[in-house]
Amino acid sequence: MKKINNKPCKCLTANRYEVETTSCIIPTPQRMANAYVPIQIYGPLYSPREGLAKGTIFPELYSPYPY
Amino acid sequence: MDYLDKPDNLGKANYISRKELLDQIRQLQFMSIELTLFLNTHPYDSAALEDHNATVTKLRRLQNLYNKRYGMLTPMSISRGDSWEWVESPWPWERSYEED
Repeated sequence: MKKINNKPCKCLTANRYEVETTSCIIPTPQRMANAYVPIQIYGPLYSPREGLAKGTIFPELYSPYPY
Repeated sequence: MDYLDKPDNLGKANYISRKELLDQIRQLQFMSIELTLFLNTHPYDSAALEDHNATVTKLRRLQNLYNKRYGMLTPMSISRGDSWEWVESPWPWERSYEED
């Protein structure tokens, strides 16, 4: 087992694609981030009035912050 | 978008208040911005294209109606009469004009 700060670190031996939720340093080699956005399909829209009030005319993009 | 397909919303628009007219202009401007963003990544989407053209057509008609009825919406509007109407138009914080 490899060590980081004298503590055993599982992530150094883990698959490099796995995301570890421990406090380990991210293992090397590292991959650059890959952003992924699914293609949007044109569908029903909000009315102009509702769209302006909600901040989007696309129902699938309406995502108010849950206060 | 059936609300854009109605043969002539403008007939009805002749009877709407100044505030309602401004509200509809703002709503259609936002609509057109949203459709622009969608079309930038989907330039061949015919349904979105159709909605964009309908939105802009209606927006222009409402802007022209506002211009004729109440004066300049922006400095790029037609100035009615013999003087530069823009300086006579209300400031943004003079909201009471919307109630006319």
